[in-house]
Amino acid sequence: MDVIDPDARIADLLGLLYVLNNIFDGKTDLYQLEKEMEVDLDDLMPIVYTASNLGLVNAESGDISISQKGIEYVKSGMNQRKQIIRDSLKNIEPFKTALSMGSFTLDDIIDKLKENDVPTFNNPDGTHDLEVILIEWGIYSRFLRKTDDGFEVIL
Amino acid sequence: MAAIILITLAVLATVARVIGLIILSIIAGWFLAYASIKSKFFENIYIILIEIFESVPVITFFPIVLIIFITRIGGPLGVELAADFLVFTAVVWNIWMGEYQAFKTVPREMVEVVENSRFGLFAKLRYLYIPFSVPRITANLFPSISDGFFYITVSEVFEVGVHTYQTFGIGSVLDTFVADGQLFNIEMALLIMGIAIVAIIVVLREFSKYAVGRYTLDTDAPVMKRGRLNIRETARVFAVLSKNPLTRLARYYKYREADKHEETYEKKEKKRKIYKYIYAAIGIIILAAVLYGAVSLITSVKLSEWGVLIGKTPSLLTGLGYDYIRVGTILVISMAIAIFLGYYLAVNRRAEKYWIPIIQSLSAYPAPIYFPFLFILTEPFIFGIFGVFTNELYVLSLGFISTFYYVFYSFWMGVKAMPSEYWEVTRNLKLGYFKKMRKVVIPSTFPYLISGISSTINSAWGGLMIGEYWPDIYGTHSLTVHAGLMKTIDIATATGDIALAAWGSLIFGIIVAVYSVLFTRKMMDLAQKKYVAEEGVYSA
Amino acid sequence: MEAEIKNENVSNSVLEADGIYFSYDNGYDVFENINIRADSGKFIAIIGPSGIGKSTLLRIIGGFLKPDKGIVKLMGKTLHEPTPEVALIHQSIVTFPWMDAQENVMLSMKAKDMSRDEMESKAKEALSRVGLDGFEDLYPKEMSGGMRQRVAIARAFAADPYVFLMDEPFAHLDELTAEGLRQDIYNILFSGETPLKSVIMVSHNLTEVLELADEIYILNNIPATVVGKVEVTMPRPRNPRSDNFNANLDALYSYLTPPRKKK
Repeated sequence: MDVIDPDARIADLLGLLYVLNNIFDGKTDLYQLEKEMEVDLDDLMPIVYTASNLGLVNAESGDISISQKGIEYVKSGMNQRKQIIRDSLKNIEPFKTALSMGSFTLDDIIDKLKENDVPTFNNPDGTHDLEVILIEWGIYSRFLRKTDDGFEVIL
Repeated sequence: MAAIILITLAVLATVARVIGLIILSIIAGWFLAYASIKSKFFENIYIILIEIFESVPVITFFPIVLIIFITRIGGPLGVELAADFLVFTAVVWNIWMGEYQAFKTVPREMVEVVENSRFGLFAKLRYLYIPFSVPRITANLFPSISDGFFYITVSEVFEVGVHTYQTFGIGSVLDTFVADGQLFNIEMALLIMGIAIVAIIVVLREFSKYAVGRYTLDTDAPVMKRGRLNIRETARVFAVLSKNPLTRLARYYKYREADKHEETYEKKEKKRKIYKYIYAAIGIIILAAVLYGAVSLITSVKLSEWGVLIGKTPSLLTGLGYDYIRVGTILVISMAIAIFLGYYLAVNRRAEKYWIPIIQSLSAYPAPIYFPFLFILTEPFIFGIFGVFTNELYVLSLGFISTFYYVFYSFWMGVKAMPSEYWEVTRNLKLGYFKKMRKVVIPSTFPYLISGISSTINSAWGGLMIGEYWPDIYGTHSLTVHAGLMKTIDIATATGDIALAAWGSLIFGIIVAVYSVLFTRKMMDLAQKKYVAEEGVYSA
Repeated sequence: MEAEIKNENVSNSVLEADGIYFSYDNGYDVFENINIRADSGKFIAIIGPSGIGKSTLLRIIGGFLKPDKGIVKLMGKTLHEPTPEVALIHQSIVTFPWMDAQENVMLSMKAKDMSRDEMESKAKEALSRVGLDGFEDLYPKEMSGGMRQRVAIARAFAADPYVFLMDEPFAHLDELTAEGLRQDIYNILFSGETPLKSVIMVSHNLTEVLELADEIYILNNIPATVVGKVEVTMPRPRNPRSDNFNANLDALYSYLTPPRKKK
């Protein structure tokens, strides 16, 4: 299941790609990254999974490397970066479901995600996590717009 | 039908009086709190005065207040103002203290942001200080509402000598019904009053939810991770907590926090000295007004009368001794029940959901209004069992029902605010019920308990003031005890012996204030030093 | 007026702290004759051991505290009190939970003589500069820490400041987030479309300082003085694993440790 991790943040993404590209010449072991950045699993893995799902890095067997799209992201300006994220979100939950719904309230999409067997947000913190993710990734990348009682896809 | 309209109007008048005075205290409190964070001098006077007035039951000032309002102002306006004053002094201290604490704990960074933008006084208040104080005000509103309604029966109708003064409201309307024995109207009045109070509590609970969602900072109880603030986790914790806003509100309840934001690296600003002088001057004026009131009262009493008063002092002190025993009894019973019931409700969500609103409504429903009817219903039965102690028992019960709520509410808030880590520790160590209570729950709620105890003592005095001498509680029955300072003051007021009433109040005020300074403040300091549970959990 | 402009052309100085002395009320001397100068287009960093008073110095530079001696000049004029033209960015993220993002940003313009429409459009512009277009109606509680930090920066930007004062702005964040924000904010700060001329940052993270700064002032001793100044000429982006970077780090540490004793 390709999904944006509830703990993944835009700033972490740029941090990860920047470090990979400028400090490790595009490729390293994950443990090296952990040591160099003095981060732990909780800090590191959410953004590694998410960046990988977005196609900005390739992570397998303990290695991580930046993809062509990732390099393009680092070298772009803000609008171009937003464009890259926006295009990459379409096939990743919860945005895939959001796209199919068009406009929705938080409760609607929680229900729909349950129907679609996306377990990530099906917990006590889930509503808050989902709201933050929709805002952090969706509104930031201009994929979504905030409406009075929920969100609306503006692609 | 006409009676019901009259009752409804009377309830509305009373509600408007209480709510209006609460709003007035909130607004005045903002400016006073601002003055006290700007001037150390003003702050010292202000806080001492609040603490004294908070610990001296307002009703004991009432005779003095009456003289001032009725002799100096007079007419319906004087009576109305006297009633307003009594309600005002009942509601104001909690709120002012809450606002002061809020202003005192505004994060310095936020202050710097508004300074950076060059805000003037009103802009600072509007955009920063006032919104920041909303959770604390809200947390203090529940007890203030109860306090405000408590005195309506005695503030809306009172007798001095042969004169009876009254002002329009449910208290005075009910008094007429009782005098004429109109049972149906009495029932309607109690019912409509009940509906109004439940409505107020419901609105207040809704407002609390809103206030918590809107006005609290995520960093009030930050989740730290390796010494860094973990905003992600903190926000998540609060998102979950805010589903039960009263839990969140517990953090803003009135126990005093140490001044965390005292100058850490800044030096006191030398500029704007002029404002400091202005605030200091306001402080001096307030102090002078209080002193003037006291002195002018003392000088207005004739020398011969002083002799009489001083002669009566030993018996007044004995009465006070009896009253202290009564207050102590009420306190012990209230605490015992509050601790067991409060704990039970705090850990049983289902029971809590129904019982807390019920207890809140009951507490806001002024005990003196329904107490006579309890008395009518139970007196023959109780008299059969307790004989000569019947009256004593009723006075203690009135004290209990008028005060129980405060210690209960504080303790319950304290349990709600207990860090979850403590619960886990008690489970981990398999502590039994009493051990858990003694070693963990009571110590960690200590600051809350202390503030609850001081409010309880305070209202217990109010209950005694009303109960120790209650002529014609129904029909020709009177409720009275054999000795007590409150009784003496009551009788002196009723017979027009204002000098004795004032002298009794003064002695009482001084002793209670000294007691509060020596005992309550000491306990408060101890609570802060040793028992701030939130500091016991530290994530490095 | 003319003399001032001429003076500015010669020195190119945006903000200057001149001969700063400061002591606490209890008589403890904090600073002795501190001189710091931020030229146009420069990112200045101030470092020093913990407890040396870096944050206090930043508040003196911003006009929040008055020095006992010495003056602070902004564009040649003496600075007496805080002004929106010198914007302070805090270590902890400061947003006001009772206002949405746009109201938060408008806060820095409230004291100015501006119409509401003007303020709104300016706030929108500032939000969009930090990448938060579409966030206008959102409340801080709905945002992540990184987004809130952007709101705080947009608020500072909206008042058209000449100088940013940053008090360890990344200290609360985990290193990955901090790295992302540093890069983002650096680009935003020097995008060149604003009146912003210079940034002064205090930090205890030497790597962070070397990644960002053009000039680094090192504070040490009691009372604190400027014990050294390092100009960083490495091209950007700077790689903390390069030899050049390490040589610079070494130079910074040499100022922070006692000099070698002669035998």
